[in-house]
Amino acid sequence: MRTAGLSPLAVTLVLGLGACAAGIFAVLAPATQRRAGSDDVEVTALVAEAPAGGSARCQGGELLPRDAAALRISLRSARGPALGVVALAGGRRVASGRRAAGWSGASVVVPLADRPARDVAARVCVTLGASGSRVDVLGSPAAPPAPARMRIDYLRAGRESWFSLLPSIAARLGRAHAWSGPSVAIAVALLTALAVALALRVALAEAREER
Amino acid sequence: MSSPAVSAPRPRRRPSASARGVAARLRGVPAAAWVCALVAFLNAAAWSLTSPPFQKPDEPAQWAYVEHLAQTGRPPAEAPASVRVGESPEEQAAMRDLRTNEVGPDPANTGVWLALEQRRLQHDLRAGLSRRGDGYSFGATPQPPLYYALAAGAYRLAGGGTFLQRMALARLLSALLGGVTVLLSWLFLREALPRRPWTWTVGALVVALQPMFAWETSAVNPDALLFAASAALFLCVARAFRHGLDRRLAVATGLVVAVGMLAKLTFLSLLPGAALALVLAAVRCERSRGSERPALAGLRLPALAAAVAAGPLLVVTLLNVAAWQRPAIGLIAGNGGRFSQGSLLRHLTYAWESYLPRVPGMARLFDHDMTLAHFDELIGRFGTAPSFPAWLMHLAVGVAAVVIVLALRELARSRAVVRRRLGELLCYAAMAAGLQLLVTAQYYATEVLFGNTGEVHQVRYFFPLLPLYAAVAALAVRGAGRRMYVVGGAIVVLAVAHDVWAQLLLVGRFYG
Repeated sequence: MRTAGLSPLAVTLVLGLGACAAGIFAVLAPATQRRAGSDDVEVTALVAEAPAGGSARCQGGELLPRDAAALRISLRSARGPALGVVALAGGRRVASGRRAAGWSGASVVVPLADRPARDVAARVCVTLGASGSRVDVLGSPAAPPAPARMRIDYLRAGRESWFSLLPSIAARLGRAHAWSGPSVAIAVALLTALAVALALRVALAEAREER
Repeated sequence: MSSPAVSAPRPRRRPSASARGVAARLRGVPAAAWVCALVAFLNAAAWSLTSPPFQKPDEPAQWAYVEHLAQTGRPPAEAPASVRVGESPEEQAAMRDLRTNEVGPDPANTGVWLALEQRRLQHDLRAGLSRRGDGYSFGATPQPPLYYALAAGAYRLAGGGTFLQRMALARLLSALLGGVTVLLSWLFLREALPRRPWTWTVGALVVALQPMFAWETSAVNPDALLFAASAALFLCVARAFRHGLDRRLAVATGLVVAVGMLAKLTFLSLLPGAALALVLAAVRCERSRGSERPALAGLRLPALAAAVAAGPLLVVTLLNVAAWQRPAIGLIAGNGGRFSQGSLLRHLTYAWESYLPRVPGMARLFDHDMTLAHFDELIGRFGTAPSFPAWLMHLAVGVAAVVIVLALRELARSRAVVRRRLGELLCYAAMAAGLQLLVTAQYYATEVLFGNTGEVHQVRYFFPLLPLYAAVAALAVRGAGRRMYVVGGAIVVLAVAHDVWAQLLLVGRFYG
C-alpha cells in the first residue's frame, strides 16, 4: 500500500476507519426475517387453553401493517393443529392465511395468502382445527375491562439484510418526531457524518500544528 | 413623501467591563476546543432523533417537571400520594399513543412504526388536551429547578408547536450542555496536563463521542447541566492549582457551585474535594507571597467562593420552604433512614460488591458481577436496547486495559511532576471519592426500598467525573511516547466506531 506523504496519524485513521466500516458491513449484511409491526403484548402468562376439538379466538385492536406477509402468534403446542387466520376491518376481510397441522414450540408463524392493501386497524380471528395435543394461548392476562390478549408479531416477506430494510427504517424513524418523513433519518445520518468528519479533521489539524 | 420622524440617536449601551472580560475570554478559547464542543453537540443532536420520546432514563418524569414549571412558573410541590394527579392529560395521551410503557421494558416491542399510529398520535396531540399536571414524580420532584427552568425556556420557545416539537427543543438544550461539558473538559486538560496540546483534543473527543454520554445529553434530564457544572468545577480547581486562586477565580468557582447545586443534588458530593483544593491552592499562594499566617489568610478566597455560592442557594431554599411547598434542600425524605438500615459490615460489603468482585467469605448481595455490569453499561447498555456482541465487549476490556496501562506508564514516567502535584491529585481523588460515596449511599437507600437487584447501579451517575475520563485518554496518548500519534489516532477511530455502532444498535432496537 502506498502511504508516502501520509502521516502516521492519517494512516492510522484511514486504516482504522476502513476496518470499522468492514466490521459494520459484516454486522449489517446478514439476512433474516424482519418484522413489519407488533401489538407489543407482553407474554407473561398462560391466558387460555384451547379445547382439543377445535375452537376460534378473536382479538380486536390490532394494527395490520401493509407489508405484513405472515403473523407470528403466541400459541404453544407440542404438535399443533391446522390454523386459519382472518383479519377483519369494518366487517370486511382484509387478510387471511392458513398453517398446516404439525407445528410446535411457543409461537406459530401463519403465512398470509391475502395481504392488506394498506395499514389497517383490524380484528384478528384465529381458528384452530381439531387436535389431540393441547394448545396454550400465551400473552397478557385479562385486566378488566381489558380482556386477555395473545401476542401477534407481523412479519415481512422473505429474508432481508439491514441494508435492504433501510427504506422501512427511514420511514419508521420519520414518525413520532418533531417533524415527519424520511428527512429525519437523513438528518440523523448528516449530523453523525458531520460530527465524525469534524472530529477527524480537528484531530489531524491539531496534530499537524503540534508537529 | 413625508419625511421620516427624526429622533435623537440613542446612545449605544456599552457592555460592562465584566461582559467584555467574558467575551474576551471566550474569544481566547482555541478553535480546537470549540470544534470538539461542536462534535459533542452534533452527535447528541443525532442521538436525540434516534430515540423515540420518553425512551430515555426517567424522561416522562423529567418532562412532567419541565411542563409543570413552564405552565405554572414553579417547580412541583411535594404532595401526599392521595392527591397526586401525575402527568398532564397531554403527556398521558402522548405516552399512550407512543406506547411508552410497553416499548420501554421489552426490547422486542416496536413503538410507533405505522402511518396509522402516527396519525392517531398527531390527532390526539392536536386535540387541545390540558398541559397541566402536578408534575410530581418520585425521581425528579426532589431535584432543584435550574435545569428544568432552562428546559421550560425551550418549552416556551416552541410555544405554538406540538408536544413533539417542544420535547425536541428541550432535548437540544441538553445536547448544547453536552457541548459545553466537552468544551470545559478540553480547557480542564489544558490546565491539568500542560504541553502536548494534541492530547487535549483527543481526550475531549473521547468524551464527545462517548455513546453513553451522547445518550444522556440527548435526553430531557438534569444530568446534562450537572455534567457541565462538574466539568466547570474541575476546570476551576485545575486553574487554582496552576495559576493560583485570585478573587476572579473565587467568584467564578462560587457561581459554578451555585449552578451545580441548583442543577442536581449529586453535585454536593464533589464539594468537599473542591473545597480542599481551593484552600490548598490559596494557602500556597499566600505562602509564595510571604504572608505571615498563610493558613488563615488562605481561607479568605475560599470563603468568598462559598459566599458567592450561598446567595442563589439561599434564595432557592427560602422559595422551597416559603412559596413552593418543597423540602428546604429537596432531599428525598426517608433516604437517610433507609441508609441507616443494616449493620456496618453489610454497608461495607455492599460498597465493595457494588464495584469490585466478591471475595470468599463475603455474603453474595448481587446475582452478577457489578464490576462488569458497570463496564458493560459504560460501553453500551442503553435502556433496554440489546448490548454489543460478547466478542466486542471482550475487545473493549482489552482496549480499556491498554489505555489504563499507557496512562499509568505516563504517570510513572512523570513521577517527579506527580510528586510535586500530589496535593492537586489528591483533591481530584477526593472529588471522585465523594461522588462514589454518595452514589453508593443512594444505591443502598434505593435498594432497601425496592430490593437488592443491582438494577439501580448505573454508570451515568459517575459522569460528573468525565474530565478525569478525558484525562486518562490524554495521559494514555502521552504514555505511548514516540507512537503517540498512532495510539491517539487509534483512540479517536475507536471512539468514532463505538459511537456509530452504538447508534446503529439503538436504531435496530427501536426501528428494525
